[in-house]
Amino acid sequence: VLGGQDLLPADAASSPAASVPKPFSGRVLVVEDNLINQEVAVNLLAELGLETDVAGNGIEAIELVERTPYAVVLMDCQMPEMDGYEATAEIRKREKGRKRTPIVAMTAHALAGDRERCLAAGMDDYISKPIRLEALQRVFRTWMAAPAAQPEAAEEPKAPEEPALRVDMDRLRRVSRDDDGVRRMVGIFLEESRGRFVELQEAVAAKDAGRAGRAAHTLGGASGNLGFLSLAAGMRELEERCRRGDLTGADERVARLVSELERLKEFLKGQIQEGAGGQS
Amino acid sequence: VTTHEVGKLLVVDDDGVSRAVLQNLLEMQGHSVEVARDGTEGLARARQEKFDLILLDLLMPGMDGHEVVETLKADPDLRGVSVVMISSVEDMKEVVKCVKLGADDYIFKPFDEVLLKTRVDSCLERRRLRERAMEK
Repeated sequence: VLGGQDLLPADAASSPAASVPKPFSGRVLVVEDNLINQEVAVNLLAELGLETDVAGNGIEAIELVERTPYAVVLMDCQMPEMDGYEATAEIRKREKGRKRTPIVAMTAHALAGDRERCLAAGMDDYISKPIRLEALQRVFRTWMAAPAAQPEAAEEPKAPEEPALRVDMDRLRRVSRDDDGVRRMVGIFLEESRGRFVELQEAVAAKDAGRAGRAAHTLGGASGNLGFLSLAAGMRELEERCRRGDLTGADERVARLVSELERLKEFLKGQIQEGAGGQS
Repeated sequence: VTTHEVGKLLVVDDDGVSRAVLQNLLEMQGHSVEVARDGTEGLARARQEKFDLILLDLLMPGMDGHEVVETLKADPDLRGVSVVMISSVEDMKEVVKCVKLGADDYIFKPFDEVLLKTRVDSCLERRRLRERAMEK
């Protein structure tokens, strides 16, 4: 009676399919408020052969996840109205007892504490922005291979590829006295750095090393005073080059520092919200 | 209980972060602190009321720290005020010039809290001893 089984191929269902490289398949939800970032993500996912839906905010994301079983959700953390942390918490609450949808955070900053924050909010993994094809491939290999079987404690997300934003929060708190002080201090810093960054960009464009060096000097000093270590280091390096009259690649350096400032802003926003949340 | 001298201090710096950080750190140490955003404003404040100590940034647009020290030390009414220069490590030569002109001490950016406290305390202490000696 059992003889017929010999004619069947090896049991396909129980073979370790995950170890066999195969193209990705499935539908991915991208939750992102920025239109350019949306397009970048959709294009990258298309390259990987994936179908994509887009949600512009957390509320939309919750609705879409209720309707469609997504292979993976890529979730921006900082969004107006409802951010990625809140949206994830809500999705986790609603899917209780059902299959857990893998949610991968897309964060603009790359700090050690960030990973914990994403995981604490119920996300499974994270990648840093700007998102890259390799990072997506890694994430899909992890989360599409055996999506249903992933336990709560997933494999350690890899270290982000970008040079890490380094911030000495202790220093910022010490020189600011208290949470209100931190908010005020960050406000002063952002207010003042706006004009100085413009000054820096103009000076570099005008090939005025002296002026660029002075702007970098002030920005570096302020950053250092508040514990913004990586920004301070970048400014010091630029200042040093300006002192030597060397402006080669300065515009690129300034562009990198501008995006460093953006990452810092996002990070501080999160920290300040966290501080405010802790008090209420 | 404060075991150190507290004084009335003036911070002169064009960088808002620097002003705010110094004000916080020094107020936490018990001093009363006022701020000015450039050399001209700093001198005007110093003429309005008597400060025990001025923390003076070296590099400022307009009237820089060097000029401010020069003006302070040339004025019989202002000569007595203690001055601590604020600068970065790279500007050591300029700081030395200011010390020669009569500045009492210096502190580097980014500020180290321990060094800041030590420098300010010792300046105020010296000043107190000097005043006591003059009274006698």
